[in-house]
Amino acid sequence: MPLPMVDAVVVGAGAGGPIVAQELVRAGWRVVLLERGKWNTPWDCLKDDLRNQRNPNLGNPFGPEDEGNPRVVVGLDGKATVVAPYEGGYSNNAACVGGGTLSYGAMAWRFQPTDFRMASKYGAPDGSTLADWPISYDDLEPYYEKAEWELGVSGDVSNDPFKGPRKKALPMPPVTPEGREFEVLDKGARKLGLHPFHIPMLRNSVPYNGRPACMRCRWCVGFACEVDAKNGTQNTVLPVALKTGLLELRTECMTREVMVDERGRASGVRYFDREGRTWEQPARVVVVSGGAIESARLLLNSANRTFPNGLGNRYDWVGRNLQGHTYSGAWGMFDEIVYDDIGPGATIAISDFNHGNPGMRGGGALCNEFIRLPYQFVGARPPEVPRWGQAYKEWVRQAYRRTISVMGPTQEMPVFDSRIQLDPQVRDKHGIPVARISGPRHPETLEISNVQAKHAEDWLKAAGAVKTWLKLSGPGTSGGQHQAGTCRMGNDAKTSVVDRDCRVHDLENVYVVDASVNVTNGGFNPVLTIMANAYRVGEKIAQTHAKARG
Amino acid sequence: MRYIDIQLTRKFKRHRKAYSQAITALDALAYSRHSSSFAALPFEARTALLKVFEKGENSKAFNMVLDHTLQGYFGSPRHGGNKDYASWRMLGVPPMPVRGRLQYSLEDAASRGGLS
Repeated sequence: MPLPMVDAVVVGAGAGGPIVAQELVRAGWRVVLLERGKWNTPWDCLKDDLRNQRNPNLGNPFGPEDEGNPRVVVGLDGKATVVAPYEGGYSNNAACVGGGTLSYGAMAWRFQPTDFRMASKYGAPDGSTLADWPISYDDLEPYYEKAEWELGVSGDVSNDPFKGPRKKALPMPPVTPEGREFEVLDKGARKLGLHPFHIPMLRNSVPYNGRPACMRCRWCVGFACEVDAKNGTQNTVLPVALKTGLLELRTECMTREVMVDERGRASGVRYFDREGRTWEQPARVVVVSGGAIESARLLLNSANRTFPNGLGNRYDWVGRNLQGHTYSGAWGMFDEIVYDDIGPGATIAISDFNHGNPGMRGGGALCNEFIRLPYQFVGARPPEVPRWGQAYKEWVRQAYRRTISVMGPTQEMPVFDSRIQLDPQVRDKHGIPVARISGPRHPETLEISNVQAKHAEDWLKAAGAVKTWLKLSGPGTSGGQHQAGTCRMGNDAKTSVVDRDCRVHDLENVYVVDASVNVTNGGFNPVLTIMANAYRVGEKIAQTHAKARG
Repeated sequence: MRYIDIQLTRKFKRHRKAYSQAITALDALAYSRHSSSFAALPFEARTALLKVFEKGENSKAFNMVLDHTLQGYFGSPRHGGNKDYASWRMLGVPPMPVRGRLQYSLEDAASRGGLS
């Protein structure tokens, strides 16, 4: 059923969509924002250590719903498995208003200038589609700043000599005191001549934007903040945009396809509401912001007579280059108690090894881990300790409060065959073909991440760890919450999906705004880059498709 | 145990077959070595048998049960395991302070016999 025409329809209310919507509303546009999930609030967060977005053993509280949203995961052995959102390999990101930003740990990194020109700096290794971004750090810098101030970022990066140039400091200081781990690791890093600093976070360290400061509790990453001190799109840009009356948010609405008319122009989207009814929302401009897996799926599911392989897929690049981050690091055991049970836990970082590994293509930041819950310590065991029984229990008893974990997101070498396709058989509860995830990590990614793990170990030793052991990654498909790369941004339509303004090649009024467009994914959590790019593209869309005043 | 029993009627429904097969296989192993059911054996013999079970053709089932056991033991008591936060106390982690109603699902509290 067709609805009244609007200026833009935005699909997905995660990190990117609401920011684009806000920028369009600022230009006076009428916008509809469709979100498949619900508008959860901290009141829906039951602080369940087995049912949260970090440990979904018993399901995901913030979506997608446990049933009716399967994906197919193809292992490196070629075996395909149907998985639910709470099972391994699904690469889940939350499906709710705010997306991952409702329940994330909230690290707010700017990528480094070199991260946008990885191919120029290092050259692509065999078997990788490593390339430069068509935009530079300088293009994004003003928008990074805008995201930091409009959403609210705390921390202090002034001691990081490797960061890109910035005009303004962060709006809030770091949380204080940072905790025992910070003290211990700060000393260790300085002993090694490294440059430790305070992790920037989308988290209030002082009251900001009418909401209080972080109360330093244990229920952080994976949970919605009880006092609303974590800054996501759901409690910052979205309420502001909604207040204008120009934006309408429709929750529990799953987009089926982007509709394209005979002339090859998008005319709007077709979607299912919560009762399963089909609606057509006509719009002058369509913005796809569903995350790297779902955005690629939507473009592929929008195939029609004019674009039989899906939108933007003339050269078979949609869904390609799926990447995330390869996390590796080390654990260190100390003689004294170093765990002080104060959130957010992750406070200290170094970026000495984002590009400081001789002979290697990049690296990544290293940080201490977020505060842990007892169940999350299960994986921390060193190899010689048995997995169960009295000896295991005794080890956990000794180690829990004396152990620090340092790890970080290694920047990955993109692989063309790491990809999202449509599964030929499996469909979701609406009957829409689901994402089929397959492909390996690049071997060089693993080599780099193993070196990063050694750096983490050295850091822990310098900090006084009496025993250390490594946490390494395997070769399986990457993705996860940092999923990226599947709708690559580029100047050449033959080797990318969207142009430098994130407009889908071949279509004059369809845009992709999320980490799908990331050519490479930096050695940092990608959320602030998604947000900055959303500000940039939102502004650009408003200029390019300026509204006829009348 | 209570955690797994409860979840076998909920989230772990899909694992019921694997559980019953694993129990049958473990008892078969116990009978072949000790002419006794697994449950009737003394602690040391059970531990030794589990070590055999862990390595053999049943390793996948063993890993699943181990993972579920750790979830029950270290997870919140609201799901039936970790009675009175026994594991949290062992680790020196105080149970969560009560701050407002957020800490509790009233439904879970009712099934435990009230807020505690």
